[in-house]
Amino acid sequence: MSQQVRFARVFTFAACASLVTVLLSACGDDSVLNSSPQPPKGIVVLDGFVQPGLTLLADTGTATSRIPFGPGTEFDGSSISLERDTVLAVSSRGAGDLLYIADLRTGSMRRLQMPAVSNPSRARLLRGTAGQTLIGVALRDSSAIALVSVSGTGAPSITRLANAGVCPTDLFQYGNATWVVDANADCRSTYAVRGDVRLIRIPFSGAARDTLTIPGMRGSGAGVSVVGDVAYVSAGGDADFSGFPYRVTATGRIAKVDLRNRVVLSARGMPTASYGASTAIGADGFVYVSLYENLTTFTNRVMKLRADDLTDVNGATPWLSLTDTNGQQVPCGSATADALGRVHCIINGAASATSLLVFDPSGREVRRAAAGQGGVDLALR
Amino acid sequence: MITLFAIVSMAMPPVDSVTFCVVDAITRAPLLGVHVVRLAASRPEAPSLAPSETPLSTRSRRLDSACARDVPGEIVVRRVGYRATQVVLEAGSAPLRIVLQPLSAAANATNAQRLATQRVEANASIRVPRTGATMSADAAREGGAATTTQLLERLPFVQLRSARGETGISLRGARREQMVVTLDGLALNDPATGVADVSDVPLAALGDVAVSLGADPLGAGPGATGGVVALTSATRTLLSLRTGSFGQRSAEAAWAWPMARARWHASATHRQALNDFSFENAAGASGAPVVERRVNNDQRQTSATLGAIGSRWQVVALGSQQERGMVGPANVRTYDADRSRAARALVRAEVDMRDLQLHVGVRHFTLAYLDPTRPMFDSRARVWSSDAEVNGRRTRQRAMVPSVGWRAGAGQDDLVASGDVTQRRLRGFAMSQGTWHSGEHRADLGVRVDVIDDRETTSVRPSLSLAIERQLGPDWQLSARAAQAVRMPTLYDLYFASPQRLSVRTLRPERVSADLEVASRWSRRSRYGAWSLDGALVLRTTRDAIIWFPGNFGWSPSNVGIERLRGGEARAQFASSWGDVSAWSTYYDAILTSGALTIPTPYVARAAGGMQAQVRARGASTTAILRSTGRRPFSAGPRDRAYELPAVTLLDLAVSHGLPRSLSPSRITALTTWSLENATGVAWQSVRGFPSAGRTWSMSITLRHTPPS
Repeated sequence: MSQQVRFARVFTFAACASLVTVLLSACGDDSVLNSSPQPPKGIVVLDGFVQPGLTLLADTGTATSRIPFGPGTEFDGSSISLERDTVLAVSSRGAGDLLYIADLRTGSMRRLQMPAVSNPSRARLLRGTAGQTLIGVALRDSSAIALVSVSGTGAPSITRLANAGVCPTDLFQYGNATWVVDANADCRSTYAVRGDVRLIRIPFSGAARDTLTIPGMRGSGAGVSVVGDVAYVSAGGDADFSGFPYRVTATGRIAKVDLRNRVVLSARGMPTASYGASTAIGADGFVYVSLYENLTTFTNRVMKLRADDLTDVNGATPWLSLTDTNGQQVPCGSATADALGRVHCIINGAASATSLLVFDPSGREVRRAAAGQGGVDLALR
Repeated sequence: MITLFAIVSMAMPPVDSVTFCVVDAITRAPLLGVHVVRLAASRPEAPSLAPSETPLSTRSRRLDSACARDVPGEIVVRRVGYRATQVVLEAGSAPLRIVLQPLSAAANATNAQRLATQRVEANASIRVPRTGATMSADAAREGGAATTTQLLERLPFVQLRSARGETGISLRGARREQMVVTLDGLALNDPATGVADVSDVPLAALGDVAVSLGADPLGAGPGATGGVVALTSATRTLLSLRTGSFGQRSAEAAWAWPMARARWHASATHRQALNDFSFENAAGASGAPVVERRVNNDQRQTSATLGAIGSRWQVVALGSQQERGMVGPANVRTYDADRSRAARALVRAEVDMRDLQLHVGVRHFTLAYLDPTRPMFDSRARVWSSDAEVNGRRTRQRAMVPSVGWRAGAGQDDLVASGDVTQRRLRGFAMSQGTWHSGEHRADLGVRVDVIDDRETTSVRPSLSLAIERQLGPDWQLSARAAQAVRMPTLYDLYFASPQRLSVRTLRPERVSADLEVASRWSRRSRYGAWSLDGALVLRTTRDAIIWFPGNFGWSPSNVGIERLRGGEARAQFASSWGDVSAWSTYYDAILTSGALTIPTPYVARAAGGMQAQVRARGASTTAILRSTGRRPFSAGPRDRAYELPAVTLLDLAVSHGLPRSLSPSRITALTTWSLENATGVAWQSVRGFPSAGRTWSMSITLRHTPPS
């Protein structure tokens, strides 16, 4: 074999090996070499009161770090959005109408002033252009969406999408439009529900508004999770708190919406007498709903639903059975799951001390770690 | 009112006369409304009466001021609420201080020792250097104070917190609701919230303020776990006008007159302010801090008092109404239109009946919160509170037999609030205290049992108090004290303790299981003035502390862990005829432990201190007050510098001078005061999110009628 042929063979082998390596590397976590479910890179707990901020935990161990947001007079949010190592949260009109942007990689936090008394509800990371970060903020009292464009540490520019419903509480982008979850409640005053929750589609150009009403869904704290062409919209229900015993007038509800065809594929209500329906799509592909079992004991419960038809994974009882090391039921909130099917949730104990709890797929507690104080939400990286 | 000042004249005192002043044994406050009875056998001549004094008989008279002159002889000094005492006035003696022991069984020797760490008030008109625990309203006014709140600010060891115009007080690292503030013995604390806001008590109605550190279960009862601030009403005649920056305007008048064998006194105050000061808003997020102006921060207050002191009875009534803008934290605009209207009325009466003393009191609070942009959120609350108490005392007849006092009382609190919320609570108590005095030692031991019935539960809470004092030589005293105390959940606590609201959740009283104190005092009087050094070490342990941690569904309080305070207090002072200088400092480590959490008590600085200097010359005085507070946490979470307010030092200056005699009517003294608060213009916050004004100025003129004595 001539040297030229040998060189050609070696060159061809090396080139093929390099190509395969490059292709495999490009596939990242989805590669065939890395197809098994992975634990989360980290866990983010939102401490909503006492000392508001983010408490960051690893998948194991007890070490924590914090990104403080400031005093309770400047933050009162109850939820976070986590995407691409960026955490977004907002404070309402009662705490200064602020948008908080935290970078988990650097541990830094920046906050931006939203319009006064606009009463922000939730912020989402949107598709930006020209290296700019674009954030959408639902402004409940302005019936509008604020589009916040941020570049570096420079001053942000804010534009508004008006006519975004009666009380916009959440949003996302799909196709060539911004979609708004309208709680359809009187958020400027009593948060009284006016009607069913709606999805309002606002095209990127033009003033048209397409409205998709979700029958039977009521609640001033409506939210959405989007997976591909499907949106899971949920609302916590309605209740009469004017006298005791509190009375649930409409239980929470979750609906699966086909965004491409703009139709509600399926919907289901939460169990009778329950209140709330905070929804998260677990990395295991299931839908986790956190709610109160009733308005008497306010016991936290978690439901696990199949994403395709929203049916209970549990059979006998709707609640996920989460037990501690002694076999006792653990009330838990803000639940979600990692790719391993381990349920992560938080509880607040004495002095509002927050603990992160992790349960194996059978519902048995496998981890309990201190996670700050005043925890209200949880997200997995 | 001006005519009040016109009818005055002066009776010349006898050449061979003795000056004496009558003071409270506990607070060292000068006592007004005192009756002096001359014993017949020793009466060489008729007593010398000032024209405004009232001769009750040929042998007795009522004093218009705390000090008087009389000819030598034996007298009996009597005042309602105090044990009468017999005193011999000797010719040629120095000015005499007559100390009256309150009839209240809580009066004990070591209370005075506790109070000894307070400010010396060198009041030239009294001429007797006082080493008590009081600050007179007159001295505070001379130092630039125009309101009761400003008077309290000038007291050592007092930490004030103010967010929306209301005033909360902290002593010895206690939370606001762990303090009791009394006016002539009647608690001003709102039973609904547990907090006493004294901003509506007119300064013109006050004679003295005494501060007592530490738990006082026997005297003040439930709630007094951190300390007691005792306000004493005054009988004086004055008119004061004040103006200042940010729209401050106030006018107050007080009038005292004899009628129907009693000394009557009345006062009225109106005060308003815009408080539209500029501040640096660092809570915004527009990049750099921006300078803004406070809006909806105005306040308007009107209050009046009426009282009378007879030889065996006393009554005082207070009515006030105030409206203020409920400005929100910096950067929060949703409260820009909110208002609050509050009204308070109280009446307290006490009667001496032989060996018994009867007190009755009624309080009424109303509070309305108005939100013009969301009227459906308007809320109103109304609280009625009534108290009755009887006490007596058996004085010892033999050595080693204690004097024993006792008290028993009952009361009721009723609350009606928006949303058909009603609450009722019955209270009862009984206490007894024995006092021993033997040579250089004094001791007292007392027990108090409180019974609280809030319809859901009935709780019985005993508290003990023990104090020992020893005189170590003529200048040095050493004392030790141990006490327990209890604070019942307020109606507000109970309301929010349960998400069900109307079904009260079990919320245990918080319990000071031990409040321990060792104190020492050294004092000496020389020809240059009076010197004193005070120091105390304290340890307080509270279990089942009622803390407002946000809960699962709503913001609610709960019994949490153990709260422990360790620390010390020190004070040095010098008082002379030309002025006085004092400095104080505290160090507290107040920690709440709950599970794995270790939480410093919010707003309690580890280190704090102050200095006050006043120089008097030729009818003018200059006062400088320096107050310094270290870093203090503002959240109920673990210690974290990100959640602490920075240390701050504030300087207040005041210059007062009297008008020339030629411009003042007879018996009228005119005092003009120019004051500069926060003279260095420090930007600071007493409560996080609520900026305080920077440098402010004020000018006042006070006309005071000096009774002849």
